[in-house]
Amino acid sequence: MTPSHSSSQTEERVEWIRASMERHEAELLRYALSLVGDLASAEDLVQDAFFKLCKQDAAALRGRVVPWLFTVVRNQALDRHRRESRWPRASESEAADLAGGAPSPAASAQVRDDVRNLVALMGALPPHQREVVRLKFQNQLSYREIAQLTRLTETNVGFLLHTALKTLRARLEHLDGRPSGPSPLRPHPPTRFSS
Amino acid sequence: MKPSSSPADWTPDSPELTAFALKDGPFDPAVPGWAERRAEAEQAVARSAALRAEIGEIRRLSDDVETDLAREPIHRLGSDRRESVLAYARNPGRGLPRRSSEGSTTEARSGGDSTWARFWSGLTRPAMGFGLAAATALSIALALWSPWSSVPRPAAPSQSRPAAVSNAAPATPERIAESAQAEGAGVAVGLPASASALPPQPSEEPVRGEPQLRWGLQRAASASPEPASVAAGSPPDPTSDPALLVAAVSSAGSSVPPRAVTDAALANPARAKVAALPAAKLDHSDPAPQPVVRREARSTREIPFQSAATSPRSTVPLNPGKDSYPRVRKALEEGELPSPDAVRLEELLNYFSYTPPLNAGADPVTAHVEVADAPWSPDHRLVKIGVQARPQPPVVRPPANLVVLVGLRPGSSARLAWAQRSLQTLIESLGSRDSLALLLDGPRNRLVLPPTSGADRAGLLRGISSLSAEGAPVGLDGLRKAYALAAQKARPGGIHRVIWILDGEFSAEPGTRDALAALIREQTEWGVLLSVLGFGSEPGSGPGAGPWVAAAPGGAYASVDSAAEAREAMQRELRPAPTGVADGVEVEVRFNPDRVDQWRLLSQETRDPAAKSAPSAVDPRGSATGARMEAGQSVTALYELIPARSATAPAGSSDLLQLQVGYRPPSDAARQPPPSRSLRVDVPDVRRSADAATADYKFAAAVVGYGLLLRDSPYKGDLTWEKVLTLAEEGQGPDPEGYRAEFLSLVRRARSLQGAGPGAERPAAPVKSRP
Repeated sequence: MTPSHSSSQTEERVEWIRASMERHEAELLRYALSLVGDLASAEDLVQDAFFKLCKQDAAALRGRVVPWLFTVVRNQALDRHRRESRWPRASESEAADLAGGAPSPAASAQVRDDVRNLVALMGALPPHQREVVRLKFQNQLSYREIAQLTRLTETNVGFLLHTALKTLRARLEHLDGRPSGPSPLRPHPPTRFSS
Repeated sequence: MKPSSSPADWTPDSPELTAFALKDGPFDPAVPGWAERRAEAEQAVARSAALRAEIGEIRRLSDDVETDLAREPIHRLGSDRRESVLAYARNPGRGLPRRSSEGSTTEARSGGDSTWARFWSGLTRPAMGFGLAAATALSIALALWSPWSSVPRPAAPSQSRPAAVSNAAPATPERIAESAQAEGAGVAVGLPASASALPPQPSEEPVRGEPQLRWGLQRAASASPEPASVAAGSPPDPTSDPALLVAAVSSAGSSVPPRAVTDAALANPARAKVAALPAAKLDHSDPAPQPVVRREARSTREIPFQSAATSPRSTVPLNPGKDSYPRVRKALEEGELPSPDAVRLEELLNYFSYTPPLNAGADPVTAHVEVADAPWSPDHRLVKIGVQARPQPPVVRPPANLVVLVGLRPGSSARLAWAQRSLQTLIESLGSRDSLALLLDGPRNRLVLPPTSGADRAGLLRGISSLSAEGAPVGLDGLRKAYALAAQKARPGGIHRVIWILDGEFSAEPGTRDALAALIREQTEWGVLLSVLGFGSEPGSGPGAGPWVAAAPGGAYASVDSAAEAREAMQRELRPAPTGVADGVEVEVRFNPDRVDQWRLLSQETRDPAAKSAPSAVDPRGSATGARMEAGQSVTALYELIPARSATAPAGSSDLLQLQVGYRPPSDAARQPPPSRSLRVDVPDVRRSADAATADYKFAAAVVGYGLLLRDSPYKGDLTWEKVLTLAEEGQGPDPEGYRAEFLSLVRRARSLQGAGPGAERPAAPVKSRP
């Protein structure tokens, strides 16, 4: 941290940061984007996380860089929303919201046609579930890693994931089974905190 | 996460069941005690069809979720943002800098979006991508290649060790010259003689046999305790061309057990679909084969592109199944497009063998690399890697003592006819020292033909023609009797085998399963091997007991659904168990990031969380990792590469990739594992149109292209059915057995089902089993 660092140490650090960015920026950007909803903000979050990484001791973080970066991105996203007073809607209100909004038959037919539209279906999940599904299936984190990151218990994580999968399945079956009826689905953009 | 309820109390709605299905939470192999919890859960799951069905549903859905999430666009940080981070990294003493401007990121993004979204569309993260590749390789390495080989053989020949293989092989002048070149680390790489015809390289001419490794992979070479000479194999093909390299590993100073008994015909690997049984055995989450959950071990996602900069290494899977091909064929023949999940690129590819003639010398493993432009994306390269184990020279076969137990239900007359025809083929290869007995499995277990000498052709034929189906097969009693018959003729050193022909749907009485398994295990220890031929079954489907019966050590299961396959399966019975020619075989590809931007193995992902944290790739010390290769076995893999933009390619290495092959000679348990061998092949970056490729290359590209189109893969580029047909026709070659001709007819059928036109994106025909 001090100017007395030798140039070789500096070079090592720069290489470490370069490699970390190369390796993790894409997954962090996806995650950040799912938290804040616009790419420029997501890039801000990820860039800041790497700025902070520059101040870390590489040896001390060995093996934990990924959870560390995810945690920083997540905390920054929370801070940001705190600052901007844009808290996520409570999942209950969102659920109530969903129950009222039936999509047009055309929209539900479109979803049905695109059998792979699970990401759109996910948009209607409560934020916590959506985040856990993403971390598990997009970022390939384990229950334990997700629990550490989200400060939930592993049991909670397991429950959220379980519920999310059940919900997704029910909606898929609903789409397949009753094509003309109203669907509980109302696709949301895959954003977490902002609308 | 502690399981809050005991598995015995689970319902399909238990969150713990989801964790179990996902092999995470309390069942995460990284969490202490997971094995005990899993064993307990497996028992509960085995008892409940509802739980098993639920597990299948959970895994199917999570595969789909993962696939869809992976399709989201990938973004990278803009270059100015990266630069400012790196600038800060050089002097992080001050406070956090201000972020760079938004405008420039937009610019960087627009550049990045089109590229990354297109090529990285399936990528979750590079590190994990490599982990998955390694996991694939490890799970494959754990699986035994062939149940035929996994058998303790009390009557095995003595383990005397003759002269070193390299001495036994003719020391041709070329070989000596190559060895002399191999100084230092002692790794030399053989090129076909035509290598001298390499076109001038734009930069430096690659130096073959150069001991220094240019970008990594020193491990294997430096840790190799003694020089491994790599012979310059004779050109595998008279038409070998600049982009076709051949490397041969030989094991100087080591020896190979003299079990040179394998029929040379093994060089053409068996076509019958050996069920992916060993792998299934290892998947503890799947305690009993159940049709509902049969997809569960399969991820349907294709492996996405990886960055060569961050994940330069890939381990070539050496144990792909072959089930997908007949499954797809079955669907097409029934007039339906297969479900995309049934289409596995690597299994389609490896249904065929692409066999350049081998040097039948002392080199246990050879690798071939051929590079050309990808037929579906001419900007990309398609790299075909073939790994082959040396076929063993034919020797006099030991006397065979065969007992055939026929347990076909009444009414399956076509299957009975297959069985009879294939047995007629079988007896043609029997001699006076061999014997064959025929036994019917049924209520009476009638002995149709007592053990009869192979010389008594008329008697054998009479027996075969009097075969019939006499009531429902029973299983256990018939098998007991068959083993007893085999024991009558047992002679040391001979081949003793019970061949059980049954309906693919056959299912043993539940109460007899343990007894069957115990019987098979015991008899296998006595040296009587069992082959189960499931007639007319859907390969790998697992509803019948065939695969399960053969799951005991020494059992082998092949599903047979055509007369030709029946014949071939039967001919294979007479070959002694293939000899392993190399253990711990691992083939690693290392892409040169200067030349390769991204790469992708054309394969579906294999999910095995247990292998997530596995050590990767070539272990020079010859640890327990790696696959065993049997004589004559061959494996083919295709990689699609996105070349680096030439502007960014510095004047470093001109190689596209390196291939590293590590293996060790087969060892027996009593000895220390012999030291491993390795070789390296540098594959130069030569541009070549796919039109100029070899026939085998074109055919391999056609087979994978067929899979890409059937899957409607996001990676299919501008591929059309016409293109696939052209490639297949050009690549058909001599095709003595007609397999490639059959492929051509399948392609035509698929084209007409999918609605022919190149613009037909969506299947026009009904698609099977999509929820």
